[in-house]
Amino acid sequence: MKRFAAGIDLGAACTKVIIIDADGEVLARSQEKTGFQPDLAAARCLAGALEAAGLAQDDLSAIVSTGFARHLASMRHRAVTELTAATHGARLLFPAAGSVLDLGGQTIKACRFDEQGRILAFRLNEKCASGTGAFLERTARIMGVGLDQVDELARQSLHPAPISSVCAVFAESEIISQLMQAVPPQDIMQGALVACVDRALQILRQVGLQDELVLAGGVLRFSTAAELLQQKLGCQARLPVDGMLQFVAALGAARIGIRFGKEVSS
Amino acid sequence: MTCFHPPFTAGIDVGSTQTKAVLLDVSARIAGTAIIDTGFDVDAAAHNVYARLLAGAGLCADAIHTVAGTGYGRFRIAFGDLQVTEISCHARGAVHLFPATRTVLDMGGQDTKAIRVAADGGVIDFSMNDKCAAGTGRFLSAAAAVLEMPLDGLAAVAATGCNPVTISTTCTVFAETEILAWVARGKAINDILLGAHQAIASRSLALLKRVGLQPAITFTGGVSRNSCMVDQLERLLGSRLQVGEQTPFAGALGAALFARDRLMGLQQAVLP
Repeated sequence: MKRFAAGIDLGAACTKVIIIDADGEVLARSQEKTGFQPDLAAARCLAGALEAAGLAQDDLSAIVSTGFARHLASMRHRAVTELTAATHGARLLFPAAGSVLDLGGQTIKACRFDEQGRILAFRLNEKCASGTGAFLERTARIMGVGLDQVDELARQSLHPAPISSVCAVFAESEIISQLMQAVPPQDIMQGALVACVDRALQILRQVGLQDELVLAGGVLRFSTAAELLQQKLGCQARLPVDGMLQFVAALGAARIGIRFGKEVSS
Repeated sequence: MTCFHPPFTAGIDVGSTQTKAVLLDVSARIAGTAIIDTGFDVDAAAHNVYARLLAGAGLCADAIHTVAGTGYGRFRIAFGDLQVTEISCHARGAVHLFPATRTVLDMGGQDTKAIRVAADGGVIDFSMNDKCAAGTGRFLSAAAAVLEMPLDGLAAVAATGCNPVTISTTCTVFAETEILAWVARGKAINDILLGAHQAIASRSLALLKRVGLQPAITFTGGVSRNSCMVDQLERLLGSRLQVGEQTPFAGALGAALFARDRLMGLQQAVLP
């Protein structure tokens, strides 16, 4: 009988569910906003993925949760940290992976690991929204731009407007005053993306870059941000394709489910 | 028409949220105050608050010998004769209002500062939130915005809270999410707001401790109008704060006092 496992990534902004088989093939994915009831978001997302895969929950040999609200997914068999999940996900996608940089909705994570996938060093943004997806969302909101238009707008910029504030709240005031001074919106948008990328690189540098670097996280679905990051890195980084960018941690969680089954660990 | 008054001086404090102005007569008595929202046009805010200050006192601009500017927008005051940092101005203003002041806590729209002052109003030491909006008035306006409440009404509602929630996040952006999560979990608004006030108060206490807590402590800036914040700070400090109707104007008052130094031909104090 074939074995299947589900990974649930309960992120601050989005909940992602992925179902894979024992070979690591993806059967189904599902995603929605986490909102204020992460347990319900997880249940809905899992149901959606199961339906898409044509499976029942009993067909799963394990359900593994990760992300900041991982302990709220009541159907989980085990929960793993985002760092562990991202490491496993990155290695499944790119077997030569040595580090991962994840630009999420509320967190930026950088993590370096050895050939066995053991974590050697990591760094998170911790207490500050600077450079996270939350900052980009607010920037788009005050500019009256939908998130789906961010890329198109930023792409037109020739001279990105620098944002000097670190704090996302102060950056907002700075952006408003730039708008008042008639700085072109595309330059402000691109400036905000540059700020996100710079902040992520700062965190990555504290961990140390190790080949191959795998990039992940919702912020990179803006291809201008991904391009900027690649440019500034000055080295070739691996970018998950086919919409897998936001599912790296969920994939890793599912992979752990396949490998370790239902046994519950601390 | 020409004005025949003994000369006045004025101080204008262009803050991130509000612009304040104070008029001083020759004997350093407050002859008028004005306050408006800064908005996006900083130059206009400075101009408008000054016009309002003069109109309120029935004076024309000729009657003002010197105008001093302070606050983050002080260099945007087109008619300003001198500019002084807000640290120096709040220290000077607080000591003028309450001569026993040795420590000042200034809580404004985007920054919070703790200042240790000498008896003459000079600055000995200070500490401020450089790069981060946590623990500033901005945190309260963010709470007001997500709860869709007027900023002025927050203190009264918060004061009725009995079981304050704990706001565990430091960042104002994350705290907004946390506040919404408390709402979603069915917590009462007054308990959430009381928790928000406590979070800011404890953050300010950390700032105050860095400069020492030498009494008496004077609370200045826009948030000093917030009675719930005063209560929470006093509870944490275990002592009374000096606060009054004029404390939101302490920065502008300090600026006006520096302007008066020039009028009196006094040596300009050494400004940090």
